[in-house]
Amino acid sequence: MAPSEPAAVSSSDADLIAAWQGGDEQAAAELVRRHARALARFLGATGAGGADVDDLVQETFIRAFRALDRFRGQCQFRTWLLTIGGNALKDAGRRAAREKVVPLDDYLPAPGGDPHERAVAGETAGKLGRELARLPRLQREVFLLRAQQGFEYEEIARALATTPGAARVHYHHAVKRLKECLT
Amino acid sequence: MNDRAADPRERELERRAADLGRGAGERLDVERVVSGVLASLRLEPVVAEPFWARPAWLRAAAGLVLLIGAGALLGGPVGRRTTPLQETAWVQAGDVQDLNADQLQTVIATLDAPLDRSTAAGDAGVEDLSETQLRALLRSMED
Repeated sequence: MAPSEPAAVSSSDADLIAAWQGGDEQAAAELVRRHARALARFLGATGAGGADVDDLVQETFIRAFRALDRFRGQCQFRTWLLTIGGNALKDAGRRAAREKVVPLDDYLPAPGGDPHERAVAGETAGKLGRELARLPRLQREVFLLRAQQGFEYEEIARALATTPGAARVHYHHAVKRLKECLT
Repeated sequence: MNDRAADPRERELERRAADLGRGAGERLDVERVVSGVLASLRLEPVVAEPFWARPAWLRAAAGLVLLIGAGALLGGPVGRRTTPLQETAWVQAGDVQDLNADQLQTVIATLDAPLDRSTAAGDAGVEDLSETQLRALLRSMED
């Protein structure tokens, strides 16, 4: 696929998608650069660990590019991508048939400050991550899409093919369980 | 988020959740992912699937075939295809009390005759087809 002209960094996702579908490879590269870290954070928080995250991020983008003709702009590209990431993680979990292992440093607070406070914060974050991994998948994804990625219920509902009311209910069920980790 | 949590514990939870997976995001080698994705896409270029192979079209086509099949089965004489032998049986069955012994035996013999191939094929439902057969059927409908 020969690139036509370099994809502008300021282009919207929709422009980049159209450019990629028109044969611009650099548009695909820009989409990956734009969303890869958010996807890695989402996967890291939903139970993927270590080197798995890199592989899952790559697999998610490949799946997404192969399914792009089914993306109709019903939600943001990033939300759609994260839901594909959730599916890729589930499939990887089935393949490996292993317990989810999350590296502890994913939950550690930023360096600096009082060592005791850091240790307590790290422990709380670890508990939160483990409880999050135990939530039903829909509750977990709705919670992370909102609390971690900052999406509105309407956007989450469009991505997960549900209603904003149902998304809100899933979120509150998740919050009810996760709040116990803070005590 | 527009409607922020009023509960301080919920706000604290959201603050901590925003930090989850931070390490995974920071460790990610984005350029390595870019190279991997592009290499994979070059190796196996994306081929747009035909419109009828999309799940929504397949479901709609299957529904249509089911409707036609159900119509053919339940529609009575309009949808029913019978052999001349069966037609004789239908006509004669109405006046069965007026038949003599020979005529009655002829009617009974026609009832035992196997149905022809077209009638038997009409009884097959789309749910009996494999995915490959369904795709072949749709392709033939398109041609």
